[in-house]
Amino acid sequence: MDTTQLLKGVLDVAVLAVVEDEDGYGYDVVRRLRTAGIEDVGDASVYGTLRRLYAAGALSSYVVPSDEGPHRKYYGINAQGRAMLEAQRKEWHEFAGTMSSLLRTGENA
Amino acid sequence: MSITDTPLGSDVADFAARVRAELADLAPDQVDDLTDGLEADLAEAWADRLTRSCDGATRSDGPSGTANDATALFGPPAAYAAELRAAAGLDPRVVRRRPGLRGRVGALVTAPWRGAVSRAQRLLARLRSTRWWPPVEDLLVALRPMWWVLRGWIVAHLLLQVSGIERNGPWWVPETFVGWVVLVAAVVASAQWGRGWWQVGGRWHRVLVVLNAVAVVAGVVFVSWLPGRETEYVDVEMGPLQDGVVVGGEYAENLFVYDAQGEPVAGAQVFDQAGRPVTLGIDSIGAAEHWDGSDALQWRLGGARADGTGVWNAYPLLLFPEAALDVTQAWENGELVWLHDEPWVPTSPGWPFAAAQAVTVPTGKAVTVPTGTPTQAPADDPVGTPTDAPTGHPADGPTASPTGATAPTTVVPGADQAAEQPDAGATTAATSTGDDATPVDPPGGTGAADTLPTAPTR
Repeated sequence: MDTTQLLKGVLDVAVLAVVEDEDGYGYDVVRRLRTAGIEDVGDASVYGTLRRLYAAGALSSYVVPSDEGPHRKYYGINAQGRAMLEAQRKEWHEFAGTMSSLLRTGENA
Repeated sequence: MSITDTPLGSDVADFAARVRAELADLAPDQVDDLTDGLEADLAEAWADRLTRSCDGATRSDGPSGTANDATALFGPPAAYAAELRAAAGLDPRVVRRRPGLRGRVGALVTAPWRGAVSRAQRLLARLRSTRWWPPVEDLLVALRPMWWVLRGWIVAHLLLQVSGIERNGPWWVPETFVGWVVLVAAVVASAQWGRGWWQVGGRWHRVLVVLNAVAVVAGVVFVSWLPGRETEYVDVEMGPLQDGVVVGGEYAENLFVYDAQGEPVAGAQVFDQAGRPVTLGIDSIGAAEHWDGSDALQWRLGGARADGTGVWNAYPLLLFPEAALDVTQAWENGELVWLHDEPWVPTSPGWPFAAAQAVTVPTGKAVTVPTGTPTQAPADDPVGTPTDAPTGHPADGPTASPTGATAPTTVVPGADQAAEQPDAGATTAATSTGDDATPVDPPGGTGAADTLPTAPTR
């Protein structure tokens, strides 16, 4: 199964979940997603998602200058983001439960 | 891990710039928002993957390569940018339909332009990722109104030059009323366009962009042209210079020679560096021949050689009465035939001072001065100039009258001694090539070979 396609629908909630733990910059979020087991995610997809969530008002952002190189843009979750994360978490569980029972049923059939 | 830890930081910057170029169809703030911090992310991802590839844990499905090239690691910039904008929820880049022949020709013609624009955008993207550029850009933006005014001035300049309304070449400000009207209109139009008050679309926008570029080039030309304008008309209508000695913008009417001690030297012959006699020229005559107040015809001469030829470079020049010369011979043959039938004497102009200040030749440590001038330490006033000379009444001077306003003084008591006068003084030219066309004999140090009763030159 092409998990890339599956991931597209849930990348938002995955990114929100990662940032909820701790503020992070672009590649930091990518690394934490990979560490969590989501290996196939593209860097640019994560960066784009962060920007989109920020534009949607779910994340706040701040720039941390660096003395030794280009600055980093950190993202942190805000109240709206938490609400979005809660709603999507709930949706995911419902959807995952449904899918699980469906697939289990199919296996049994 | 920072970008400086990777030896390929410039590759990262280049890759980021190419990604930004792929996003060039978006608004600048959108691009900034989308790619802010991209370099840091790319550099860290790169470093991370280098580590992983060293561990032999390269991603099986990731872009392959030995990680020595950003494209090998991250894929083509276009794909990267497409992924970025898709994830950000932005529309994919608009791909234009395959154009017809006209469109293709147009694309060919504008290719260099579009290439330049693309390069400029990439350069700007790279600049914006540096720490020093944003303040510079702020400053440039603040200075933009100056460019608007300059642009209006340039356009007005072009219009008025081409239309011939302002004919006198380049200018800082117009010289005609129409010129001012055009200038003000152009500046206002330029500023309004710059401020975005006059929005024009499509073709007109392109015309204005081209006009803007033309103004940049023309501005450079005008500004480099203008400062040289002031000196353009110098040396016009200057014919060959007339002989003469110019002092204070006027031809000198006579010269007066003083020796090193400041004593007047009568009959001093003056030559230039090539041995040519220094004469005062036709333009010096003016009132010179009437300085004694007489209306009678007089001859202005320094003296004569033994063969009777005139000398005009022995100073001061004297006035000889009409009776002294055979006028007919002089006019018809140009020969000076001296008449001795009547008693006459030449008149000398009044000397400006009875004596000039003495002149010494300052030297360093005592040396022998080859000119024979006694070596002496610099005096209090080592260089005396005639203008600094005493202006009082020179009662003891060789001539009784210090100024030309008073009656001329007879300097030669007898007509038969008149010829001596021109040679009475020192010769000022030390050497002479003697190759001039004038009848003046070379004043060689051995004394004149002619029959004039000349004194030794020293």
